[in-house]
Amino acid sequence: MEHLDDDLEDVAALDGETDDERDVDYRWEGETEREERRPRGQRAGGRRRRARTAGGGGGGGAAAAAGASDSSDEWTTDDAEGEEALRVRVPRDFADIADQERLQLASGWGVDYARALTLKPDHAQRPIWVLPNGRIFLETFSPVYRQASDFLVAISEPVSRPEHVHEYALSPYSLYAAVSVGLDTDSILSVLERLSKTELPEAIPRLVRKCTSTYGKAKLVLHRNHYYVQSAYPEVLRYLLCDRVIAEARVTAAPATEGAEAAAVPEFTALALPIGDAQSTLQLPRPESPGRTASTADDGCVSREDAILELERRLEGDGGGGDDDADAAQAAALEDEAVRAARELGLDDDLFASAARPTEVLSFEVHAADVEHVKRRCLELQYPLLEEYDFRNDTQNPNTALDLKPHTRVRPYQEKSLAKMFGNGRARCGVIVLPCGAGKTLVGVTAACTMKKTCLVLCTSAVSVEQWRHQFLLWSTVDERAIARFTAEQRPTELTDVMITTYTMVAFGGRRSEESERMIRQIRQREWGLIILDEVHVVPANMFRKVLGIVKAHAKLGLTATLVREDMLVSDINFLIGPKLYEANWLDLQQQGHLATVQCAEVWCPMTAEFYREYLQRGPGKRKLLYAMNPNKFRTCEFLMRFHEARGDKVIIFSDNIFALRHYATLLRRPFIYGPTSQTERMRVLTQFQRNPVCNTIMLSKVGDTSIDLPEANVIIQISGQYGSRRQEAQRLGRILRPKPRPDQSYNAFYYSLVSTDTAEMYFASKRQQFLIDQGYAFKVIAHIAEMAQYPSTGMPDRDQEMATLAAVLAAEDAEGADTSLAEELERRRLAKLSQAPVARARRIVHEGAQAVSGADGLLYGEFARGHAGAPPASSSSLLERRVVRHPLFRKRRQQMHAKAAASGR
Amino acid sequence: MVNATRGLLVQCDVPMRQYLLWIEREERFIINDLDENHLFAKQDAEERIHASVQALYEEIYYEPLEEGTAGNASRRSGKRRRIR
Repeated sequence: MEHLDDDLEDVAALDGETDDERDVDYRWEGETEREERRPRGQRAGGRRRRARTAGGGGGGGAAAAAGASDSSDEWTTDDAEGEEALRVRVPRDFADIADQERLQLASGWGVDYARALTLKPDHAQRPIWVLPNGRIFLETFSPVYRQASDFLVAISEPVSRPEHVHEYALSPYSLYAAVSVGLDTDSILSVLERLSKTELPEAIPRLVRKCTSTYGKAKLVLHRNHYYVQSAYPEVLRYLLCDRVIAEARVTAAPATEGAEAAAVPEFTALALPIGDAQSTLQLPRPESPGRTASTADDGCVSREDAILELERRLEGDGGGGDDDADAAQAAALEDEAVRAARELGLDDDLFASAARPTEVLSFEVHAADVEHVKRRCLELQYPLLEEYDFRNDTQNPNTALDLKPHTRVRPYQEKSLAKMFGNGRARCGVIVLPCGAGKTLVGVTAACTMKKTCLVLCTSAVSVEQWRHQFLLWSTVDERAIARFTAEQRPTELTDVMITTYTMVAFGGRRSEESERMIRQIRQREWGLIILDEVHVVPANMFRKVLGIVKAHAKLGLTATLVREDMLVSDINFLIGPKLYEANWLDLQQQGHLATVQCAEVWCPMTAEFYREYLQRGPGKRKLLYAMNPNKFRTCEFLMRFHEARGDKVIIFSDNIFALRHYATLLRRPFIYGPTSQTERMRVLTQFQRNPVCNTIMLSKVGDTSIDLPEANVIIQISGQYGSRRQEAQRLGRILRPKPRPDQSYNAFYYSLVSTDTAEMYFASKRQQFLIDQGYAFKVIAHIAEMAQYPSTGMPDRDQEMATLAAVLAAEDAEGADTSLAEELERRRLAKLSQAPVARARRIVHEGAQAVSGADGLLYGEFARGHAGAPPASSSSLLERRVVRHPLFRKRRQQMHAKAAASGR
Repeated sequence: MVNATRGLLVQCDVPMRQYLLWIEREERFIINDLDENHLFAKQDAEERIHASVQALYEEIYYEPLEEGTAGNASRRSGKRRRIR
């Protein structure tokens, strides 16, 4: 995962790059003919697949030797065929897997596994390939695809799921999640063995055993506002207490009085917490079909998970086309065949049987403030703490009268995600990832109604607070007085059953008003049953960690659509909240009709001569304005907007750049909303957009990425985005994912991303699309729209208007188009750099003109040497905004140019 | 009296022409600027033009890689091959 700062490291790394022409593996040179033959599992659709030579393991041998010439003794041969075999490194833990990945990709080759893996004779019936580095490829056209994908989502992380071949990755985190939903080592291995086309490579059982043998042994329990580490195995507790961090976090009992024996103070307290048996039921309202009940009436000895699997099968059997009998019969026939095929392979009911639990448990208490450190440390010691909350048997906390309303319809995938959370009658902590517009709020409401305990909901903004309250009132029987909002404007006087607030309200460190202070104190003291974290991908930031330290809750549920962040902190969520419980498949939901069918397209707009000439001369700030204000892009945008308005669609135009937003809105004569727009005006514009048939287009800035709920829009045109942010692209797409039936066309939603060719925007656009490509969307490239010639643009009809626009762009300040936070960041870095710049000796200052001397161009007064005149000043922003990509194929040419530049510079 | 000069006719689109004019400030290779889509360059300029255009595309081409490698970090390999 890349983050905004990686340009600096990249430049630092690549500047010191030496050209290692080491002939690393002479054996490799002779294997030319084998390179052409790629394993079947890699023959997948999508342009990314071809460019990415994923899963390469044998090339890792060559590369690893290049990378660490003295570590050749770490290599072990995988199979017994002797020296002829490819040297595939056996991963010992997840750090090994990551390292191996990096090295394989550094080599740049694909790997032929024909020697390392042997095909089974009936491999055509089996759907998956398992590679020694933990990657699993699944064929979607196999008859057991559905069951296999459910199983794989439970034990591994989906990496990329386009239409025909899915890719998953086994990792310790995913195995931890598998154990926490009730799978055990032997069943995982046996099912993998049964599904795999080849014999399982040695590394995989070793990895699975290593990772799952220790998981599930220790739990973290909140009891009467105290945290206890609980386990049925005293040796596990002793082992954990050997660690310094955990021992320090332990709350020691009051010192024994003199003369008391040490044996009088027990080593571990035996908590009198009843452990629920595994046969409790998950109550969901099913008003339409009384034949299907969730209770385990007839299968007392069958465990929870397989009853849910059975339910899923039945749901999928008759969930498709209810009206059409022929369709239902055909679906049932296909379903039978799939079930038969699954049964043949052994994917039947006893798959998810949960192990019996011993009833005697021991525990020790830890300080509430150190809980996060204890969890992280346990994770590092390979004993991750499961957090489960037995809400049915909890008599300390009062029950609330929350129930789902009878008209609430819970969709199959929402049920599946909740089944993962409430699998064995207890509530697990974790994160549920569902696409935007797929009904995450309903999942949260259902979870609260299932647990029937007090619930605290944390959102990102005041608008989401309103939405959550609205959804609670809509779907559940909560009384209006029992649900309260706690925001800067509304401060309730007492705690209610359900409270909805924002992250900033709770984590605010400064002084508050007295009512807020009182409220926060009450929130802190109460033992909450459930805390729901909306848009959980913002949680890892330090400010939001405080929330989890302040609020004590038995169960934590995180909801998000995009678990992708542009910095490395997503793995923190694993020990802040819990493992990822469920991730939905976007393409599957689209095919089932729960999401709109979106046609994504990248439209190329060539730059005009004058704009491109200015683009070449300017620095990165101005470049951004120039490629956003490209006249051809404007004309394309206008054409697409009019085209879709004529079809009767509702169009949203997104622009990250405020200058471009205002300019476009003025020329197109459409309303726009951005940060400084007042709340009343926003509501007015949005209401007009939703209701008025004349107002069909609005323009939004970054504020429209989240929280504004627009169910009516079905076309998005994006003219400018925030560099390479994949999260932003996915969230913008989420604005149009609600399905709107349009019987005459197959596609009912459109997503256009307008890109100026030959500029840095091409790079950022490709980078942004990667997350959506992994979910299965294919971006079509539209290089030229022929119909545009017939409809001349009214906003920018001729060259005079183009030149006027260019003049306006050049006159604008660089920071005018940027959003405030980025401008502040740049300012801070510039100040930091100035303060660090050493002033060793007197320097000659070369100014560009009078404007620079007077300080009117916005720069602080500073002295620094200018190396070469005429080039744009090297500022830190250039490292942030402009990406210099050095392709290894051009290394020789680049060195020649460096040599030539150095020679001419002297 | 006729003066004949041997050169290279470069046919390109509008932005590329601007790019070549920008490059020309450093490496002089254009004899005559014909119109929006055509340039007349020196004979030996072909390699330099290709190299400059490749440099531009190197900057704006995004190579999607797996996580763990930072963007287009250099690949160490025994043999070079174009991966497309």
